[in-house]
Formats: sequence, C-alpha cells, structure tokens
Amino acid sequence: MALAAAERAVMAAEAAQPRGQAALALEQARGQWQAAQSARRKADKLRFAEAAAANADLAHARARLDAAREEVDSRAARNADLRRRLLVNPERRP
Amino acid sequence: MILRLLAVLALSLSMALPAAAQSDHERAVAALSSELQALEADPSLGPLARLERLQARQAVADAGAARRSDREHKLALAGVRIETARLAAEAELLSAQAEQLDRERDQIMIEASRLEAERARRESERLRLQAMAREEALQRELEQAEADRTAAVQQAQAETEQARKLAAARAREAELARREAELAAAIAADEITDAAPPPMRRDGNRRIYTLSGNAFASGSASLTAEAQASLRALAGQLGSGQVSIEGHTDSQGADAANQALSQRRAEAVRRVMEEAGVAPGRLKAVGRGKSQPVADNGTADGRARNRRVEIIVN
Repeated sequence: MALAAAERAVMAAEAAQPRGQAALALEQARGQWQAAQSARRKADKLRFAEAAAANADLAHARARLDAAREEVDSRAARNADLRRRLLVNPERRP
Repeated sequence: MILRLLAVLALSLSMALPAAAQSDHERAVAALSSELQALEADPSLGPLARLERLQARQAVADAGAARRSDREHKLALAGVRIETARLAAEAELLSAQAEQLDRERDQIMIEASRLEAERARRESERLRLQAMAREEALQRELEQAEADRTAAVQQAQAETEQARKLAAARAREAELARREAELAAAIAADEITDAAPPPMRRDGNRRIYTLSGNAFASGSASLTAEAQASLRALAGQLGSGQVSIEGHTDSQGADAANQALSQRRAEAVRRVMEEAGVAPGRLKAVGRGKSQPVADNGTADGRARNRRVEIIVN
C-alpha cells in the first residue's frame, strides 16, 4: 500500500514537469521508490516508500510553486503592458 | 576498587545516555512542531494547503511517537512534509495572485473601453461643434448676402424713386412751362382780332382745316399766338358736327417720338378749341405720327408741309 502511494505521488510529480530543485527532488523520490521496490526487508521497503512519497510530494509542490511564480510574473507583465498601451498611451492601441 | 568505580560510572553513563537521546529527539520534534505552527500562524499562508499541512501534522506526530530506531527517519519525513506544506501554501497564494491579476486585467480592459468610449464621445462632440460652427458661419454669410441684396434692392428702389420724382418734377416743370407759353400765347392771341381760320379744303362732305407746322415752336407742342387766334376764329365757324383733330409729323426722328409729338400737338389744338367754346364731346384728338405724309419728306419744303395738324369737320 505504501508502495502504491509512493508510485502515485511520483507519477503526479512527473506530470507537473518539475525543473531545477524540484526535478532533483523528484529524482531522489524515484531512486527511493526503486529502492523500496528492491528492498528485501519489510521495514526497509516501508521506509523507502514513505521517503519516496514525501519527496515526490515535495517535488510536486515545488513544481507547482515554480509554475505559479512564472504565471504571476507573466500576468503582471501582461497587465503592465496593457496598462501602458491602453491607459497611458491609448492612441497606440492595436 | 577502581574496577568498581568504573562499573558505577559505566552504569551511570548507560542510564544517562537514553535520557540525553530522548531529550534531543523531543527538542527536534518540538522544533519541527514550532516550525509547523509558525507556518499555520502566518496570516497569508496559514489558511492554505490544508491537505499538506494535515500531512505535516501527522508526520510530526508520527515523529514524536516513533520508536528509537525510526526516529531519524520520521524526523526527516516530518521535515520534508513541513517544507512541502510551506511550498504548497506559497503555490496556492501565488495562484490566487494570478487570479487577482486576471481580474485586474479585466478591470484594465473595462477602463480602456470606458476611456475609448469617452474619447469617441469627445470626438463626436468636437465634430458636432465643428459642424455647428460651420453651419453658423454659413448662416451668417447667407444672412449677410441677404442683407446686402436687400440693401442693394432698397438702394435701387430709392434711386428709381428719386429718378421718378426727378422725371415727374421735370415733366411738371415742362408742363408748367408749356402752360405758361400757352397762356402767354393766349394772351397774345387775345390781342389779335383779325385772325383768319386755318386754310380749308373739302373732301366730300368733310371740311379739312390744316394748321401748318410753323404753328408750333420747333419740337414743341405749344401753339403760337397767331395759331391760337386762327383756331379761335375757326371755332366760331365749326357749326355742330363732330370734329376730329389729327396731328402729323415729318419722317425725321424716331417713330415713337414723332407719334408722341403729333399726339401732343393734336391735344394742344383740342384744348384751344375747348377754351374757344367748342363742346368737349365733339372733339377727338389723334396723333398720326409720320404715317400719313402729304409731301416728299426728302425735301425741306415737303417736310414742312408734312408737319401739320388737320381739323376735320364732318
């Protein structure tokens, strides 16, 4: 069950297409999940699975944060451009 | 003795070490718990990432209750979960900011539309005022043109009236002069007592008396005193028949002028006849102009004979 949860977490993080530190965290989660799969002892399997799930969730959250930050920057720039073109220099309206 | 002392020390250490380890773990758990509480107390991030915060709280609780062999692992998991909760909360906060930016974009577009409408309204108003100004200018030009035209018409009417009055005054003056001349001639004629009627010829039952052109001043319809005396003599011999007085001219000058002169001369003869006592109802004066010559207009003598007034008695 812990393995399945870890697998879902890893797949969800991959879907978020993480970059930078998020990608590193995801890579770590993948390794931990693979270690969980190959562990012989149940206790080790559980530890690796828990660690994989936690790091995958961390990667996922960091990827969402990066995407949200980019989105905010993009929309702020867009609004500034609109304000400049439409409100400050309305004659330059396309 | 020394061995015994070492044994007591080892026992003491063995009893003290778990207590120290327990204390470090509790401090670590407390630190994590404090970190999580700080996150949840944050006014902007605290209400967000509920699932991740729940997982973090669970992880901290698991770390606090972990067995000695699992403590390090559980502490690490709790740290990751707290960091995940913080990152997720920040992501949600930024997502909310992105949505706010979209609403701000909508407000910008609304404001731009309002400004555009305002600009269009001002432009429309400017064009309307411009058209109105052109219309007013045109109206003023039309009114000025109409005023100029009216003034010109009034000026022309005034000049026409002035000319008419002048002509009337001159006609009046000429009439008075003529009347004066006639009166003078009449007075002079009163002094002529032996005047004979104009020469007469017969045409069937009609008697035709001819007053020659020298009975008038040149170009005038005023009879000479001799002519008036001759006509008075004729008036006493006319009897009771109808009298037709016909004026004639030579062919020199314009037709209209000759026609008018012959008419005026016939009228002058008629007035003398009336004044001499002939009933006005018997008299008829007609101007014939140059239409009925009795001699050649090519010679001075012929033209003198053509200038005449004939008094025809039926």
